[in-house]
Amino acid sequence: MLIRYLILLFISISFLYSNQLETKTQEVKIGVYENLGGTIPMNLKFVDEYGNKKTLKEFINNKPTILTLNYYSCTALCSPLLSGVADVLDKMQLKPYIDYNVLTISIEPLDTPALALDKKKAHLNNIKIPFPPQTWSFLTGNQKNIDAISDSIGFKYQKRIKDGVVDYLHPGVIIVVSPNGKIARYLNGVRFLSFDLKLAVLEASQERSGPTIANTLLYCFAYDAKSKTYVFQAEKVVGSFMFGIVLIFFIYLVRTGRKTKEKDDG
Amino acid sequence: MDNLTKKSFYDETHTVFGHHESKLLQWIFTIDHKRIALLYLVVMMAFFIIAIFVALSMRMELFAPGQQIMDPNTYNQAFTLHGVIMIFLFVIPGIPAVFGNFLLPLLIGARDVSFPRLNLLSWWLYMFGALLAVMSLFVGQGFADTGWTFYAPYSVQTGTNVIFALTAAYILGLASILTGINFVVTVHRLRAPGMGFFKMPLFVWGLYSTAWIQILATPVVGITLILVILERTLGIGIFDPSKGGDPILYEHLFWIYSHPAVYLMILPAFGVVSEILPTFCRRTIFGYRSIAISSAMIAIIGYLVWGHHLLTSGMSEWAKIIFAFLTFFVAIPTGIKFFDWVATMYKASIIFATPMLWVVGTIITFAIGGLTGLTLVTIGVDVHLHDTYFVVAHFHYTIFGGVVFMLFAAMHYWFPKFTGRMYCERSAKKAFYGIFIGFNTLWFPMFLAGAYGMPRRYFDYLPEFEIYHKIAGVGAVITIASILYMLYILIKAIKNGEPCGNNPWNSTTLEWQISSPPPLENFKNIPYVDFMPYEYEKGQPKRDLTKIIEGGNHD
Repeated sequence: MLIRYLILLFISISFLYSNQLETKTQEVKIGVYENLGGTIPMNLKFVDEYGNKKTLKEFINNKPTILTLNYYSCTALCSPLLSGVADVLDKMQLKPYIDYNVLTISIEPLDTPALALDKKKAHLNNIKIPFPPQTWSFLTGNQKNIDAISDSIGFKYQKRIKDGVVDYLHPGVIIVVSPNGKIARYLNGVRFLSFDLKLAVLEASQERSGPTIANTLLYCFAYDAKSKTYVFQAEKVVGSFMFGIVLIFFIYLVRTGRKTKEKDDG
Repeated sequence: MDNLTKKSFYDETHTVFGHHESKLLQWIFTIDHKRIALLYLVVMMAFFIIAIFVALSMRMELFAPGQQIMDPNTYNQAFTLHGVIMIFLFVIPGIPAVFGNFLLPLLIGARDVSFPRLNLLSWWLYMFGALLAVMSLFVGQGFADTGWTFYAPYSVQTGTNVIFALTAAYILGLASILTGINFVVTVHRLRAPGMGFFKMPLFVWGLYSTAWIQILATPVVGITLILVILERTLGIGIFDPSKGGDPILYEHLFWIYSHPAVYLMILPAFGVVSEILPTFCRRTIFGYRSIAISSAMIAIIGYLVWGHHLLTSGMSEWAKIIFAFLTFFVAIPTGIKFFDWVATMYKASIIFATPMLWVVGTIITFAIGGLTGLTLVTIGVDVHLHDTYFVVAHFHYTIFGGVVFMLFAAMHYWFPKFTGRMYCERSAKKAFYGIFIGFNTLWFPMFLAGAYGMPRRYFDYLPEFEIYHKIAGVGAVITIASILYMLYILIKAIKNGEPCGNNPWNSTTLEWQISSPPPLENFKNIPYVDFMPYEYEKGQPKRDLTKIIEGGNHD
């Protein structure tokens, strides 16, 4: 009976606790809603880091293209993600500008080409292989075009103004599109395997689309390290308790020794 | 002499609810440890065959780049199904459930395990868990696609039947715990008079160490699986960072069980090696005590190494170094065993019967598997090799080339004990060579593919990896054909094998001194055992044990 009450108590506490936490995160519906095989609007116009206004079709230039959505004043996820991209391009053993292009589009309409150029310089510096600068463009555009591109790839983010500072909650993902703008593959996270990206680029060049491999999203969340301490204490308590029981069992077995008399010998 | 006309456990049995007329009811309600062992054997082998064909379908899919016979999601489900069946339904129950159940009481001179009814309950739980796993294939969105490790957060998010699979794994874990408790108590309570801990056969030492792992580690995975279920149904957030949880915590909890679990698989296999070697080398095993203690050492240290699965997941540098060093330490007791075995074989007049061939084969394959484990746990190297085919190759070299090879060895070695007949040696040896060659063709190329960067669990790959997948595909066909041939040889011999008497190998352990197949309740009189298990003199057993068995207990 006691056990039944304990279970009931546990479940009701879990319910209360989960609901309480749910409300905190309910308004945030950010993430990647995959649209594999869909096409991005190729005639949207964006401005590159040198101030040239071109359509996506011109930027993609009939090559498989790696697409990332970021903003240039991002303090959290974007820099590691773009470093991750630079890192994987270094290792991918494909020829930049001949085999593929890279496009980074800002989701902040107030970002300027000058800011974009700074970003570009910083990240291109980390690439050690010969890398034509025109391979990787850092684009800015107006809200309407940003919405159109992010909707077409299912990239859901949220603007947040806190203490006068504007930032965005957004997922970490790169997308590979085919020369015709078909979405071939999503790669989640901020670090990418050269194997994954190369395979995706090869698929995109053949207009194929492949499944998402690492299905776990990384979010641009502020992480609260404090709240996890209770977990480890629970672990210790449960662990010690279990170990204690087992130790008592062992001592009992050793002390009582073997069964000397057979009850039914014959 | 012809035991086949004598009454054996096949002819009579105790059941949990009275006497049944029906043969089927007599089997499924039996509380005789030998019958329960056979129940496990039949079900496990059925699942094993299903899982190898699932594996074959994966190899055929990977035979060429791009899509061949299944789509990517089916592929994800296929490798999960393969892993779940092989791990939870085949290798973890594995040697303890079949050979442990059958032989533990025989080896220590007991009439049954301590809790025969609990033993039957374990089998029923096992069947129930297996049934749930099978059911989840056919309902809802199909079998889980998470891999057998069920890593959060993906296992929390995917739409497939994760809860079914987790519940199945949970119930199978419970069955495993009950078997563990049963074996521990049996070893403590039911050893024949005179038999101290250091007079027990080494297979019993392996089972004893394993049983402790089952008791201590399995509850952790049980808790973990329930947490995932709660996370999916109630959203408690323990693995969700947006609610203050931590997905890495899942990996810790999971591997706290699942790493000891690989020792749980291999320790009984090492025990089998230690039984077979003295018999076919015709001499006392070298370093009995060190082998016995090293089993316990592996079980203890094996507890403290789980972190090496997380070297790339995010851990403090100190934790990484400690986990890596502890993992290196496991190699020491394992090495002790290996050198003891080699020393036993050194200058012995080895009889290369099939079980001995399997042992020698395992010493080779497990050495490769074990040493590549040390390569993997070298922290810097692991950053490169983590989640590649190198890990897949390492894992199969240890678990298939160690545990399953020894299960096959045990199937041959104790075949005469189970049936009273002998299989065809010539054919069985052919099957061994087929499997051994196929095995190496299948998995050795994966070491290379992994080192060059082929990630595991991928449905597709870059053209430069095609050659490795082609060779592995051929190896898979050879391996599976040879396994089926081996099973055919053994099954044929159940009916048509030559009757071979009680002790065809001229072995010194207790199980061979009673009739084959053994009678119900094994020993008419409980023997008094005040001697070591493997005592040979000039290539012959030192004493005539049948007299001791017949003489029985003198108290």
